[in-house]
Amino acid sequence: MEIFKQQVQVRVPVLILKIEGKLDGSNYQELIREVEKEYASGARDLLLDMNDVTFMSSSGLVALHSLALLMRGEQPLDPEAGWSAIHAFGEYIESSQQMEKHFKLLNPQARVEKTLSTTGFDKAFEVFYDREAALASF
Amino acid sequence: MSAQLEISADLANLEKIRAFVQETVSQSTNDQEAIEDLVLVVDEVATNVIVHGYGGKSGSIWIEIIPSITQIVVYIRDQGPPFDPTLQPNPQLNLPLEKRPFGKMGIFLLRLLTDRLEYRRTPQGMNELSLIKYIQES
Repeated sequence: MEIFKQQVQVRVPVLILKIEGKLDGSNYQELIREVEKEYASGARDLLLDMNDVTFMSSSGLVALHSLALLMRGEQPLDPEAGWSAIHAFGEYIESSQQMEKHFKLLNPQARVEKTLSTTGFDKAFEVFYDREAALASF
Repeated sequence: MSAQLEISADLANLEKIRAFVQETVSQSTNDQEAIEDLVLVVDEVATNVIVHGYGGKSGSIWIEIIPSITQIVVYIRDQGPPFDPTLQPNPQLNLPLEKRPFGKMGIFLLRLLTDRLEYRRTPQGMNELSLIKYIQES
């Protein structure tokens, strides 16, 4: 997995992270750590470009949940908690009254979109297929 | 034709495990949806075995794939402590999304993306999970 960064100024500064490759149990923590660093450096709105993500397991879902928490200013899920983090996600989805405002997804491919929709993530995160529309939504 | 893989239980090997499933199943069917579902669920099981079954200790995972005209059977065996995912509670899919108990996402995906799931503890003291996926030729 590779991560590419771009800062775009729209109504607010938006950090675009483009991830390429496979997001699984071997590397999802890298993505969390990268966003931790960016949040510490001042990033407050994040668009995750998933156009080139060719595979995502439930470990990737844990990463997405963690990124949403980070952009809220909260702690990410404990990577050492492993699968128990999934339980936290359950509570998170159940308590989600509205879409995340500071973390959105761009261009997930069909396979990744299927995982998002079957697990309910598409109810927690706004998914865009148009970059400009995504940026304008922040 | 059946195929077998014995591989060290290491998250760094997930890519090899997925490639093995992809290549083996692709030789037997052109049902792309079934192939991708199996790649994902085997990844989920392997990740669970590595993270929780062996808990960071060294060990092996054995994967055997037996294709036929109508279905693909995948056996995944490990020497971790007994764990029967089929005994985990079913998600209540008839509930509205916001009220569903979203615990155990990996097992949820397993149930959703396979047609049958069977577990046994082998006489040799191994966990053996059988994933059965029906295939449709186009």
